[in-house]
Amino acid sequence: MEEEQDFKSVRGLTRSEALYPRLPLINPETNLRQDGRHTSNIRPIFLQTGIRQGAKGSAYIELGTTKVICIISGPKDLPKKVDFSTTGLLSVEVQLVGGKVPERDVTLIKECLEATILLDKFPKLILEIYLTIMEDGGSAMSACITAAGMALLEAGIPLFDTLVGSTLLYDGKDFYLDPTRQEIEVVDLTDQEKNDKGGGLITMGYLPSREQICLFSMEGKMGPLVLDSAIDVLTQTNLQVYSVVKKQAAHLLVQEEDDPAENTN
Amino acid sequence: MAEILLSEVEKYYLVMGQDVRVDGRSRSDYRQGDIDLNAVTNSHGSIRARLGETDVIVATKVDLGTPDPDRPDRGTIKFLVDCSPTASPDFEGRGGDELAEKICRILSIAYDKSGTIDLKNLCITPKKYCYVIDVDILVLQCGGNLIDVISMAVKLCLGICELPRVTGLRYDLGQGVPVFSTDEFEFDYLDVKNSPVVVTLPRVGRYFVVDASLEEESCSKGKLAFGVTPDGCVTSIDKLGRGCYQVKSIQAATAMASTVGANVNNTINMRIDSLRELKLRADPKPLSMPMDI
Repeated sequence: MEEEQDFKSVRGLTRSEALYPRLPLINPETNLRQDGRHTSNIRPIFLQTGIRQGAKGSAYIELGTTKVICIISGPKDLPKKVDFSTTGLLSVEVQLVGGKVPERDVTLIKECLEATILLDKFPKLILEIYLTIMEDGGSAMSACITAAGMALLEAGIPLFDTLVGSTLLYDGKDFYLDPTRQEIEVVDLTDQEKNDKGGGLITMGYLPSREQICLFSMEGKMGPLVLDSAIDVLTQTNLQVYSVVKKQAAHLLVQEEDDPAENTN
Repeated sequence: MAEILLSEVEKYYLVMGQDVRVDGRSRSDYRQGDIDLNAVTNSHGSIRARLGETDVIVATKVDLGTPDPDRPDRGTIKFLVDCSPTASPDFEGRGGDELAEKICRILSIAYDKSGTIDLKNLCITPKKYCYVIDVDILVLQCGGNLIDVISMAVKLCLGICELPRVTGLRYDLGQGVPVFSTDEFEFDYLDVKNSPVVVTLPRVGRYFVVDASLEEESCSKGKLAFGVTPDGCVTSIDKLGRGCYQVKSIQAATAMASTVGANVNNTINMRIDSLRELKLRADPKPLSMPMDI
């Protein structure tokens, strides 16, 4: 009877447990995470700028299997249908290849960028920021803002500070930094029986030299004290990400000195 | 929000952040409010909540549906917010929709992702039938602190929502179809003891204030919305509006939201119990009680 019921639904669209087994967060043999990291380690970050010729600014970031491209164009004149504005405007588009990004994440990224960019420097203009998540292997939102921060640096848009982001997963016992998608799926926040001890997913955007938080999103269930220490851990992580961004930004400066012709353009 | 005219002196007083606010409250005090029971008669439970000038109606409707294939053993709760243009001139056109979307988002994360409400109780037969609770929220008047009032009203409303009891399964061509009791007094309540209420903390000047009025909201750059359970755990944090916060001030806001939210949530739980008792009395008059937080 069970079979009879099931032939109507398209089976191919459901994810198979055999192909994607839900492994525990910590591998009991090695006492490390499934990808061989410590709980407090982030994945190696690959960051590159200038990936698209002709764009004002562009950046590509890779965190494990998470791959994000950011392209910036503008600032350009406001379209006729948009009302006059004394500060600059932002248009942020986030695309996920083969999926849809929740409206909530887009708003969070946009509000975070609005807090980072000196919008009063370009009145009556609009800056367009296109983010494409080529693959979401977990922590895509923090990858997005780090990429956007890097691309803004390359574009030379006036900023309050460089922008970095990181993500933390809490399973009731430990903090897992920069979680992969598999790890996020293992911690099922909706299950009440498993969720007695709490659990949560926090994304934080940070301006390192001003020590300001410009993006903060949390879901799950955490006590206030645990949350406090999670914020401290995330701040430290963001400084680690910042060291990578800083290296890449220094690289940008060297490139400009090498090629004075490009500078005058 | 609506256009608010404030003199320089008033603005200065608001931003200076005295512990005595314009209406005499301290920073962590709520305004007076009251609750009406069953404001909408043809629903499975409805609440009209007022706090200060803010006025909302929340109504629940219970339906039979099929569970989400990813979560075959759970029912669903859906939220729909309607910010009517009569509530505030800002809700005309697209303005209301954006705010409504934002509130829906906060509520569904607070209820869906935290595991504080056991959605398994809403399942009738796994994979086939479950209760679907539609929560409709109508904003009648927006007088500041809208999100908190809505979340309180939603919790109250889910607490008094009557789920028709399933008496058995009728087998039709080998498929079990649930049969509901015909007695209107046979129903179950949903356990919402642990579900969160939202505490929004706008930063006015150098401090975070609880239950801000429209005037205070107009003087703040950004807000933090916390979902808080009765034991003081935080279930969601959203940053609304542009504006940055220092690490320390976010931590201070978390501590404040946790104590204030636990207090409010326990009061709401008490109100749910007394509303359930009130309903048992056969009294045709509209039932109402003070909120008293």
